[in-house]
Amino acid sequence: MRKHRWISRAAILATLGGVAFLPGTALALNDTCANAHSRPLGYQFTLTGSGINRYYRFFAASGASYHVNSAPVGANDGATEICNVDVFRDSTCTTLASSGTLGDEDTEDLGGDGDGFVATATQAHTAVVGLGAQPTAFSCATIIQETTLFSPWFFREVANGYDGFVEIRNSDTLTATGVVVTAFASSGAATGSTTISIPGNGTALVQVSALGAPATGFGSVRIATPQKPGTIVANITTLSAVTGLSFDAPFSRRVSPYQ
Amino acid sequence: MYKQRWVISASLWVALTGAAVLPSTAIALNDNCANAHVRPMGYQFSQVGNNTTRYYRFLAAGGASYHVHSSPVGTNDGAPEFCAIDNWLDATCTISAGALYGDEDTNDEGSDGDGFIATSSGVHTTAILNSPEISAFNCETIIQETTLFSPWFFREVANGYDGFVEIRNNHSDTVAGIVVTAFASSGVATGSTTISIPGNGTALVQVSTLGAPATGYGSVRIATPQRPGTIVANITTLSGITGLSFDAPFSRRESPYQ
Repeated sequence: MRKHRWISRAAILATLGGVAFLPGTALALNDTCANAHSRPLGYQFTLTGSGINRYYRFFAASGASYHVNSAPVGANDGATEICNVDVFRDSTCTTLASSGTLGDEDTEDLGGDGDGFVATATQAHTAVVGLGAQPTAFSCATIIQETTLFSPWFFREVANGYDGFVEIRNSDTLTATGVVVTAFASSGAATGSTTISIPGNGTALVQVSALGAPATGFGSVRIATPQKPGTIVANITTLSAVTGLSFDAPFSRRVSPYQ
Repeated sequence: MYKQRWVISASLWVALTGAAVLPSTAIALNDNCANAHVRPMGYQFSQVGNNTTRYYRFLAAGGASYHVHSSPVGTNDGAPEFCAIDNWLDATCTISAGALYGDEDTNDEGSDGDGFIATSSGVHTTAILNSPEISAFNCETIIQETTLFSPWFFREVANGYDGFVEIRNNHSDTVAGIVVTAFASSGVATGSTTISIPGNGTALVQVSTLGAPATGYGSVRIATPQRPGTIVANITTLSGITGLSFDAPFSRRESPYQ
């Protein structure tokens, strides 16, 4: 579909400019924010060097959560190889999204860094990968991933006692913060959300009735989790103590094509 | 098995013609439909170029859904690098598969995604275009199946059992062309419906409306031309009479290379 948009843009440019459409593109090292190279979600790539920073652009959707992980693939004997990640919410590297508070779980790789965030706008974002200074160049393997979880179903009917219970486990040993739970009506309208913290190995329970879900109707739930993929697992149980019925709708992660 | 057939065929050919068997194959650039190169499902591949179109062939099954995604892995300074896709429902690039689906809000910068539901089992073709730039760049491409399957519903009208298929759209805009098909335990399709779901919305389909037998169990297939992960779903079977309920979530049929 984008092809047709692109052809339209090219045709307009050619008409207006009277020139053949050849974007003025030159190879540039991505050592500044303006020269960031694009990287698709879920695509693993390698950066080799020592004492350098490189910039990468990716596209994020508002309300969804993302995680950037970079880890050294060691080559130095006994050296402290470090890969560092910073993430910005824009393409100008102005607003820092995350620089280490979320995303370093106990599954962390040696010398690796993981930073996660919940996107507040649908637009280009930028990740900076920094390689620690070493006598010998080494490689940082990096991946940018979506971490958002979705469950397709809850049912609420106050008259018959139905409510949805969102059960959320933190698989890390440390407290996970900034987990955003949002309920949606069947129309797709968000009815409400809450931001929670969960202690290490703890479980949180959120009732969809507490998230503004309509008194009668069905809908779904999204969990935005800035932690590393796999840190948060969740399920919705809908039940009624009146009828004795219960149903389960597990959450799954929206993965990217290259994963 | 194929190797044995090939050896037998080769032996016959040698016996009949007296010639050594050397298939008349030459390497050909896949710059037209006839010369398309084969790509397996779920296999990620890279195309390097600049204003370059290349063709790739893959096999699709009737009733199943597929999605082709291509993204630039940028190297150019500030350039609007684009990877574009066209899909055909055949090996001759005659019948377009359309370009209505596949660009969800998880889209990558400068990328393209096109999905479709195969109307018959057979060879399909995709073409990837690297936009014109001064320098060549990479388009990373993957062809994936997106069909979802749930193994179980139970229907028994006498005791109130029915299956409820709950389907969520994880995209922020409306998605269309989703085909929900019920199957009896024998594997016979009993009926289907095509639905649209608003952004972040949830749809509910009862298997009793899909021709499921009055007593029996079966399964459901959802063909979704959207990007993998856009549609998630579950079946809840329940009876208001007995108070029993069971859940059977859908999972995507993945490919070996994923």
